[in-house]
Amino acid sequence: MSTPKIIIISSDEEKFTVDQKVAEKSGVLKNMINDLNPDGLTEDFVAPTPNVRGIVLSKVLEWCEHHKNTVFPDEDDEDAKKTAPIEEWDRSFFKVDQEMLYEIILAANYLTITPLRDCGCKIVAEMIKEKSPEELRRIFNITNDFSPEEEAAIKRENEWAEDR
Amino acid sequence: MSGATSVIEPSSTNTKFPSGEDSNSNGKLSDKDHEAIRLFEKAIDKEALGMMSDAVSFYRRAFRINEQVDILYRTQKVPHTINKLREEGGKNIAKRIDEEKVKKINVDELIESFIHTEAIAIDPNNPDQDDPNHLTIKLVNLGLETETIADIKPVSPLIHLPNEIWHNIMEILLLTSPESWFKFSITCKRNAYLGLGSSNIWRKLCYLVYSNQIYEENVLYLNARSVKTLDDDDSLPVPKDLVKILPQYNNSWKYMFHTRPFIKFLGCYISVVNYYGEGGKAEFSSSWSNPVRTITYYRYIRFYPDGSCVKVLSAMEPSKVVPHLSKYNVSNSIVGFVSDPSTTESSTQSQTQTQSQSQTSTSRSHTQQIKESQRIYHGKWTISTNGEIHIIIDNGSVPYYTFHYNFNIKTLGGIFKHNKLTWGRYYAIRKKMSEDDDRQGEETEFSLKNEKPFKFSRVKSYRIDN
Amino acid sequence: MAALPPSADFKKTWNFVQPGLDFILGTNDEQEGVTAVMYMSCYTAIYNYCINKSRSVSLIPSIIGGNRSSDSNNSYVLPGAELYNKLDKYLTKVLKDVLSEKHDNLLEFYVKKWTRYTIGARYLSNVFEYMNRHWVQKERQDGRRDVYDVNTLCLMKWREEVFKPNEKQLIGQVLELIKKQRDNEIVDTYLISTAVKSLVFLGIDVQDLKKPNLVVYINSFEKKFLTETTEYYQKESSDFLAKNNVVDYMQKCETRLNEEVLRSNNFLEEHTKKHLLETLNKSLIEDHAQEMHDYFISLIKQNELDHILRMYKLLSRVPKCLDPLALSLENYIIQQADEKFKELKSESEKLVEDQSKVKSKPKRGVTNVDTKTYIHTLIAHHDKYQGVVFKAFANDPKFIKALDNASRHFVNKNIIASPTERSKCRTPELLAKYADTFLKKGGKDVDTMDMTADNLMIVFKFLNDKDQFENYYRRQLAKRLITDTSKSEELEESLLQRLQVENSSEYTSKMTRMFADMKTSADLKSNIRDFGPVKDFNPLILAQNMWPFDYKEEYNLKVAPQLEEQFNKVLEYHDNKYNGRQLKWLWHHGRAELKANLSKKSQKFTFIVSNPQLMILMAFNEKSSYTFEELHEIVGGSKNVFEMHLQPFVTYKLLIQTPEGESAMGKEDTSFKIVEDYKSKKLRVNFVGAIKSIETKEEEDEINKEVDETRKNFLSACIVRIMKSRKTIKHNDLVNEVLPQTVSRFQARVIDVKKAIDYLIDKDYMKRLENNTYQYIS
Repeated sequence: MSTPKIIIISSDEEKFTVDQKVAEKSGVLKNMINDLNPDGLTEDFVAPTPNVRGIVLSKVLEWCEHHKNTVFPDEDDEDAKKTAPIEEWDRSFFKVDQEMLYEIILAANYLTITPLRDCGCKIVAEMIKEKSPEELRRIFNITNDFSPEEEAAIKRENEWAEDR
Repeated sequence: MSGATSVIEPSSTNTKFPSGEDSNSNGKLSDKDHEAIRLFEKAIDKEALGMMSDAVSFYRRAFRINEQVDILYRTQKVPHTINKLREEGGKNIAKRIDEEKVKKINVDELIESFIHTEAIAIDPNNPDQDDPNHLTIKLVNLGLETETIADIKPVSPLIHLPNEIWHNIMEILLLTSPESWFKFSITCKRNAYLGLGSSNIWRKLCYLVYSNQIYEENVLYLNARSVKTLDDDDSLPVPKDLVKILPQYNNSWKYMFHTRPFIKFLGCYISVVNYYGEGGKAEFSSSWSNPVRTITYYRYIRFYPDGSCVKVLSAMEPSKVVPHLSKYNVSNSIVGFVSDPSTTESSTQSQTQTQSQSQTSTSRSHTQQIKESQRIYHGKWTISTNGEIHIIIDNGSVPYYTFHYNFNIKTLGGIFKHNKLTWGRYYAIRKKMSEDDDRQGEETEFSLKNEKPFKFSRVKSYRIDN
Repeated sequence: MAALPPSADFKKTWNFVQPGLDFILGTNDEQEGVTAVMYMSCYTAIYNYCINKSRSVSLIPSIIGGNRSSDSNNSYVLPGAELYNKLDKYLTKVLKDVLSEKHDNLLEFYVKKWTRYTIGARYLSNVFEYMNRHWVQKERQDGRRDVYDVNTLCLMKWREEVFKPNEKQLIGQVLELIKKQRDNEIVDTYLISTAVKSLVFLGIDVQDLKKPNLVVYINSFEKKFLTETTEYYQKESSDFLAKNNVVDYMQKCETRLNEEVLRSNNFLEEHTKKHLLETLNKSLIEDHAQEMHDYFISLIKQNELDHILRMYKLLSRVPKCLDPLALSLENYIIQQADEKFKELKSESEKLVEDQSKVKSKPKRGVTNVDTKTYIHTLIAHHDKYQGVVFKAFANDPKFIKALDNASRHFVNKNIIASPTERSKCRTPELLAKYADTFLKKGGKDVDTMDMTADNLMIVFKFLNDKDQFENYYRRQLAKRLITDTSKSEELEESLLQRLQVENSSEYTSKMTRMFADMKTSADLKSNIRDFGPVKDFNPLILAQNMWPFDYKEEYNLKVAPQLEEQFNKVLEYHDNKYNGRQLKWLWHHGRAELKANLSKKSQKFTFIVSNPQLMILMAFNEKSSYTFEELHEIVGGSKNVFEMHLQPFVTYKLLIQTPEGESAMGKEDTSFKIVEDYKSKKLRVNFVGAIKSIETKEEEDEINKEVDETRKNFLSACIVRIMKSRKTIKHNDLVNEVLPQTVSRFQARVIDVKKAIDYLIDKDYMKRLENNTYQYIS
């Protein structure tokens, strides 16, 4: 008998057959597989992911497949994880438009693929770094909706906090 | 607001200098006028640094060239500067602000009111979105005669990421680029709510800041204990687990961050001292009176979260000193910075340095060659819960003294919290110089008459460990 | 499963997930499992609800100054709190429903439901993962202590709804089962272990959810369990001992202890093990230690070492219970020693009586037991109990100490060593004699074969008056050395080495010096060999204070003219080598051999004589007859000494005394004439043995005197040393510091210390202040 596979079904009914190891990059899927099969898998297991579209799921699974042997550090040192540089492969993985970036982060969040979610967050953080407020507004296409006084007041009360 | 908190980054170019393109639009100005404006700007820079005598001298030279250099400067340079600022900061930057209105705003309530505010996309058709740059684009796009409404692009989908995700992004920014955190938070109401309105942010800031403070109470406690392990945090006078003291701050992390003093590490503290001194007469001068001149010098202190700190007293201005002000600077000198660690001398010295950490002196023969005014002194610091800083320098400029500095952390200008160190005491205690030294322990008090408070300056290149 | 509910609608969301939650917690009776679709639908619906909330609703309504946790009637609804509160209420209802189910046996029901519930709680926590990870975590990080992750919430609810109301009955049932098991009934241990383990899970530290907390386990179960254990075993052990003997009881204890350890391994927490052991030790051992102690003597009398070992092992669980046992052993060894020596004494008295009925009885109380027998009896007794300590007490230091104490007692105090309470202990003397016997030439190998230095060292270790032993031993050593009667130099030196290691180099310093003198003298001998008539001239140069010999004025002999040159040569040689040292001849030591031509048959006799006798005979080379006065004048020495040494010649008819008779011997004009033809069957004639000795008694007095003197000096030195460093000291402190310092030499009495202090005060080394304090005078 061959090793049981996980069949992940997207919201638009697309099926993806992957190794258990790949699927278990997702904390939710891992918990479910373990909870529902406390003695281990004996046959293929079907896991629906009603929040993720097929096109996004395929991208997310590409990441999981690539990282199936990567050992990510434990949750303990949050700060070290947040400041670690982005790997080259991940950086090119995330060369997508904002729409797709959004969907990948959201899917990683939903499926609890923490390293993928964190990596996406770093990509967004890099978009923000070293930019002026006005540049940021252009990047995210948002309007400055403060009155001059509101903006001044908020700055006075909080801007110093960036110094530490 | 200028000068209150200055960002010193010697490597970055000074944005106030006119760039080449400007000279075209200012074709009417003569070379002399340009020179006058250049000197005038230099004077402004010096003034900002507190170097009054230099500033006065540049002002004089500028006015000597053109009596109306101040007017010239304002008409020629200020509009450009404002444009530049607007480009970076947005529409509100150059607007006149009604101070009365600002004072009435309760910022917490204001931010709170943004709960349900959604980000608004930039609408080229909306005249309220008064943005000169985009206006230009609009005009270009529309052509002159049509009245067609341009397509409104929606806001970036990223804006719609759940708040949990945004908090994660904010934390990354707090750790890697604190300025960007604030710049993002000031882009719009929704983002202000994200970046400033959640306890997550302030909790993170509190942990980043207070975990690195060296509390005098804890140091005394641990020194008094025979077993120096940190097995039970519960017994420390100042607990490490901040949740334990949160109730003292109305259960608010932001309130804690605002009111509980702390030492900052990502920059240095500078005190500028100006005083008038009698200049010496030239050797064969027949002048009746001695010339009076201002003397400017600077005190620099940089702190590290391991309880060490470095101190420099120099007449050299910040842009020259700050880049070298580090406890890892093996030359121990603000000028003799050894940038290439591969040379034999510096590598052996760095060995000494790592062995002896901060307090103990490095190789004597080398340090003695350093001029007093360029020397980096290593000390230890502690903070007490009520914000008193105590610095001890064992190997100071006088071999038989241990120098003590007491400062208080204060808020600068009512806005820049924990940004100022005011002097409390400055004294020295005689060290034990021989076996039966009966002068050991003698205290010498130094005058604070000429001393000025320190201000914190953010230095972007500083990390907590460099 | 139906389509996901709109994420903004709480009611619809809840109604959507609740059937799934019922499945997960197993509250509906259907036995089929949770499906993946159901699981993911619940997770997704809850996730969507949380995400939706987080996008539109504030995470925290007030940033500054809101004291939220204290006020439960907040007008606002915490986001996430809605879901959390609903879940809380739902769990309450679920558990109330569970409890209302019919059941016969509470414990069985509890265990069955708990097992299912905890599985469900884990699923549930995973399904609510997003709420756990964000909302719950944030609330806790902001200091709220009444919000828990879903798994903990489930446990808290169980504690409130199921455990608390049934605690008494439930714990009662668990303890009842344990009792049954102790009574050897067969019980379902799964029920015990699961119920007990559930208490561990129910202990939750609200400050730190990850920290294990045994508060429920301890308060609800452990305390009662320990109390019941005590009661159970108190009763059992008393009942058992009433019907059975101690050995059976001890075996019972072992079985019980093993059972309890097994039980605690199976279903008790590590925390309990220590307390359980204490409880068991108390009720099984400590409470009955007296019975065991009482039984000990009969066990040791029967040499039941296995049972004693069993007793030792049991009692050693309560260390303080060992002390009386060690004391019993100590006393027993002493008492056995007493009996042994009484026996030995009567045996040897009988032997003596048998051998010499004719002779007068020995002095009252003093028994002349054979030295070897005595010493070997000491050792045998010690060795016997050393074996006991090894086999029955695992060489426990406490018992080694008991043996040492007992040995020290019987070595120094037994009827042979000190026949009466106050008589001085003879063991040091006898031990020295023992040593002399096997170190001396001439003993029969059969007799000395089993006499060894090892034996000597065993006894030596326990001697109180080691200084006395040193004195005796040194005197005998001196004799062996100057009379060249030592069996082996190697043996002598190795024994000296061992004494030094056991005690100190100071202790053996005199004897070491004696050996050195012997070596120097050997050099001397080779240097002066060829001067004068004496062949084999063997003068010894001995340092005065090291050797137990004194110069005696009454032996002030005059060297015969024929010998003068040779004697002077010794002085000359010595003065050259050691300038400034004075030499005195110890004429009362030493022997001489003379060849005598006094036979008509030209037989050559060899006479062995003392030094005075040598001088006497030398005089007869000049002249064949002298008056007493003339002869005394030539020989020198006191009249007594002269007469003592003259006597044997008369007795053995070498000199003819005129007039005869003992009374005429010392008269001035009594004349002595040497015979011309000496008659003797032997060619070697020893005149030394016949010299009337008055030295034996003297020697013992000498030893006592020397020992006393040394002790006084030793104590004085001790006191001065202490005073020097302390300057002032209280009397009692001083005494307490001095006494331990003497132990390696002798047992000082307080009175001796006081005498030494008085002596030092007399000599102005120190003075007495008020308050019983002394001050050092420098």
